[in-house]
Amino acid sequence: MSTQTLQTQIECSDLVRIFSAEGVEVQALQGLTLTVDRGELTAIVGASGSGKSTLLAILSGLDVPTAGKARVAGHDLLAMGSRERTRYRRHVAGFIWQQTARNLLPYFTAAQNIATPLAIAHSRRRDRAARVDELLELLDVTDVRDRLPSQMSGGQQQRVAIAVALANSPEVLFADEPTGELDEVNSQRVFDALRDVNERLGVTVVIVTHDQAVSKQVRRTVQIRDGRTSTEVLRSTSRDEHGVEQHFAREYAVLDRVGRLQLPQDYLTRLSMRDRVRLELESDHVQVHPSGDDDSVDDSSVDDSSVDDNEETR
Amino acid sequence: MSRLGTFALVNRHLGYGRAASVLVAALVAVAVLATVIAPRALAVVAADELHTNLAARSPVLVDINGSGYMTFKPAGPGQTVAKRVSELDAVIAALPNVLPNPLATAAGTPQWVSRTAPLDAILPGVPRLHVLADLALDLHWMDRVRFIAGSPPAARDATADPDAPLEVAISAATAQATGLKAGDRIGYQLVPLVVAGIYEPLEPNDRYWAHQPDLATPIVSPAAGGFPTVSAGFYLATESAAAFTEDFSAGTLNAWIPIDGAEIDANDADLIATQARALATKQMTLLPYDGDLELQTALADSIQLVGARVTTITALLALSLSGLLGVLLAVFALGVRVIITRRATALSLAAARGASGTQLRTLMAIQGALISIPAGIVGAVVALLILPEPLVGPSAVAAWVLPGLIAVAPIVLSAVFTAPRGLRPSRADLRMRGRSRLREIAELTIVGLALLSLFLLSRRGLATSAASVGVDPLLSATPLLLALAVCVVVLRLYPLPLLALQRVFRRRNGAVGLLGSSRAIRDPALGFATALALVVGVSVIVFSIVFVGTLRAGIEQSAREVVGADVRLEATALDAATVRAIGDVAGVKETAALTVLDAVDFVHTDRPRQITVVIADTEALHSIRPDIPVIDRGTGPPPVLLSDDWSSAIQGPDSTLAGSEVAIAGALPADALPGISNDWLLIDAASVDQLGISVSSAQYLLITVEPGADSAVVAAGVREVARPTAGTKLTVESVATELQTTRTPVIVSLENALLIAAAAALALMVLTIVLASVTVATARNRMIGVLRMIGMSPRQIRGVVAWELGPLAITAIVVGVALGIALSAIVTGVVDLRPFVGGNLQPGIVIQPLWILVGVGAFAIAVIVAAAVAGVVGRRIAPAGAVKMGEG
Repeated sequence: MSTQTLQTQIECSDLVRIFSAEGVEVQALQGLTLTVDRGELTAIVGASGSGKSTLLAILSGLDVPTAGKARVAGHDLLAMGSRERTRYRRHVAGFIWQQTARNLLPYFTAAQNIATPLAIAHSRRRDRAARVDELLELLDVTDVRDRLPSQMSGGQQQRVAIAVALANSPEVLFADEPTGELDEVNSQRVFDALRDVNERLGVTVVIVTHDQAVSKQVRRTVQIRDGRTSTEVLRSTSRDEHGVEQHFAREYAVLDRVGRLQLPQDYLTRLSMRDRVRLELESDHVQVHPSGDDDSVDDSSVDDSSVDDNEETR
Repeated sequence: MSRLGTFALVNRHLGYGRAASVLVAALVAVAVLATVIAPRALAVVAADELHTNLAARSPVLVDINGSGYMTFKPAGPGQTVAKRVSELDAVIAALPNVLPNPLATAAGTPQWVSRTAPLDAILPGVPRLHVLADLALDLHWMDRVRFIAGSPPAARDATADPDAPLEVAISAATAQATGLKAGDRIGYQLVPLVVAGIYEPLEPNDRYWAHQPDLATPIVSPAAGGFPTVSAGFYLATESAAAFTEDFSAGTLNAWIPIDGAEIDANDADLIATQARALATKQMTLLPYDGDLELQTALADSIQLVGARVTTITALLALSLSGLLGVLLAVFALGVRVIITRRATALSLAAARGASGTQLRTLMAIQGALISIPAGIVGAVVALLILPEPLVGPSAVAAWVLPGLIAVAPIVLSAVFTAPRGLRPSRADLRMRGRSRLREIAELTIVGLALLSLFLLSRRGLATSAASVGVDPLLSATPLLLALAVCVVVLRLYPLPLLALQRVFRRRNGAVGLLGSSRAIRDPALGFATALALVVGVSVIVFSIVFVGTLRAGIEQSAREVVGADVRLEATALDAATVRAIGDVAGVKETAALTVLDAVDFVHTDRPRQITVVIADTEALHSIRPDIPVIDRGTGPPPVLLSDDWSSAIQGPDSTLAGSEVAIAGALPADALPGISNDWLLIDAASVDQLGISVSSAQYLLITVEPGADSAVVAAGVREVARPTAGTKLTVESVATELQTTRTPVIVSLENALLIAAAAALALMVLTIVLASVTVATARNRMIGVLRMIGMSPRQIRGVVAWELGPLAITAIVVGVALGIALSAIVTGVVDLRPFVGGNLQPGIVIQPLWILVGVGAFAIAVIVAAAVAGVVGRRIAPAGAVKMGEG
């Protein structure tokens, strides 16, 4: 376990979250599986309603899953009592919302906003100013120290928000569409700040985003579809023999603990796969064939262990 | 430089968005002011009631009265009468010194009068009058009178000729009743008397004359077939008493210590009552030379009567106002909810940053305290400045409990409503939704408590329990608990008619009804707190209206009971011509004359007794007093009706009245004929000549007035007509004047309190609606934006918005009116209101539909006004912006 937690920071398997209201049940997460290692920078993408915000709310301790398993930095998110949950929010998870205005209290200055989580966590008062200044400097917003949020630009607000989220030195930073309301330049600056934090402080960062510009710069992008992790894209950079920087991106389907995987929707349509498929085990891969009840479909095979670069098809 | 300390941060946080808190603060201040003032106002009213009541009572019922006999110091050389009684005078003057405090502080200077036994007096030339007279010895009587004829009586030498007449003074009223003039001689058993002078009281309202009434006005009693008896006292000069020492010793000594009711501190009333009661159990006061004086007083009863009324009014007020507290609580809940909603972003942010539930609750509790504690202190200080009436005893502490609870309520509510989970934006109101087990337990508890309090109220009664424990919180909360229970049931049943409506609208074309009803069922804008406030508010208004009406009707009924008709005239003698003349007075509708004969011989199975005979034209009497039947003349012995206080002793036939046989036709309540003492017999005027009794004049006249005529005005007219011939005694009572005396301070303040409660309920309901609407303004504007985008006209949108409040308002009216009437019925059924309204009958509930309609109309107007205000407040959030707002 100790080695596991040292390596694996976030571990979700078969995570289910059902919202029920007035007799209507909505399954926001339907057995989601995700693993994030310590120090990783991960982006989570997906259509709206795919459950990514729900996942983030659960991971940051704001919501409780209905079933499944979720561990973050050794904390079992399903079994946490309110005391442990409070400690978790204070010291383990940091959080940044999409709406710049929601991250900061409008009547507090930047410094005061950063000091608020310190006060909540009962940090010693004489240490606060130093910590506040350290964070302001880290995020390059020292000049807005004594300004109210309304006197800052959107980008400054979000960077202060990151500082607020970092105040109590969390192990993981969750950001829900942190650049959603920003222009391109500010988006980049905020993303740079997040990457900077990730690299310099070693904080694990999970970003939910719609922003392709952001997701393309992230080493690992997890796509959620219908409440499940469907595919992952891993990017790497290397130099070829001519010294030219080459970007590689590979999309993988996610295989869960018991062997389930999601086939991309367009594969299914193209091959008219429905209800049943036929699997064939080859020496180094598995083939998926349409059930064969319908002879009109030819015997084309889908190699599912490695789907060629097909990212962001939607 | 930003300040980063926790205190600075909290301070900065709490300072944000003060406006929303001002309303709650103002409410706390006003509510604390009202609850701090209320017990003090009640104490003032209680004192007022006590003083008014003691002042209105006959001094005989308030003062400490002593009766006994006196003896003179043995005669000796140089011993004048004044000297011979000086020791007695000193002992009586010192009587207040033995009284305990605080009774002694209210005691005045004692007075005494010694009187011989009454004896027949023969007035030469006045054969048709029976006069009973006694001699009165008073050292200071000359200070109280003014002579209008003759001169003060001269002292008679003890050694004078026994046949020489004794000079006496008689009152002007006695002179009028007997026809005596100054200088007239009177034959008397002890010694011949001569009227030296005729006096009248300097101050007719002096308590002295209440204790010695026949020294100012003789008592004239008519007798059956005989001459009226005039009883009076004659003053003699002090020194004349020397010749009659034995006669005075054989007579009675009356001494009394005046008690000034105005000097009694209402807070000491109970103690004084106990001290007064203890006096009666004390031994006789020994006077010099073997005289004796026994002290007695009815003061305790007088005080206790007021105490009972004050206890009942306290309990009734608590009962009437507890509903208002419920509305207040609902408004607090909504107000605090608004404050928390305004802070929701900050709170959820803090929660996400790791603030624990305790931290958030503490923060909001501090906020609540910052709002309510200063407001409460301001309210209390203002209250004490307005009415600095000190409270004493345990009530002084108890009086702070309610204001304290009110000031604490917003703090507790702030902490309770700051549920970290409740900060989700989806929770827009306080509604108790979901399949919560807690909700079921809470609901069952409320219903159970309501039933328990109702049961206890019906078993123990309000006043009995209040007398032993002060205001009983459980019983006083009965209306509130009942209202809560009703609200619980209503909210459970509320969707049923709406579902039916929804089915109806589904079949129709219009969108407004369907949308409105569906929204009311699935996403009610206004929740439990609003429903509670509106239902309880309407019930408070209806209760106030019905209860004031019931009280007023009860008071009028009892006034009619006391008077016996609209106007009652009582006189020494009314001749037939006067009775006819009174019948012609403007406003008089009908009259019935009663002739009262005292001490008529009645024999039943050989057992004789003396009773009062009342002769009346029973047909005329029946049309005025339908409860008294017409006595059918018939044949055989004249039928008579008996008062039920002695009728049980009369079984079967064989009864004679004044020697003639009569038939017992039935019995009537002893108090059916007001002003007439017990053991009476009613006989029709047509039967009287058969008994050989001649009726020449009447003593009572019962009068009904024309509809719309003021009985007080009619009474004045009647008095004018009757005055010349009525004789020495003439009293005219009317329902109007009786009502004046029954409307004592407690009644007036109870009525005022109820009306204030109704007005307060109305104001609180307006606040409730405004607050509830403001709470849901964002959601509503989002809906309006959507509706506008799909093409609804502003009129249709107004229709949809009206569905937010409409069904609830209608439910509140229906349930509130029913609850208000039910509460009035419960209170009238359970609380003994007779100490208030007087009379012997518990008043029945009186429902005046017109006034209830006025109350409901006021509520409807309040709802419309509040909806308009809420609309104005809500419009500040532009629908376009509201639609754009994301879920977060």
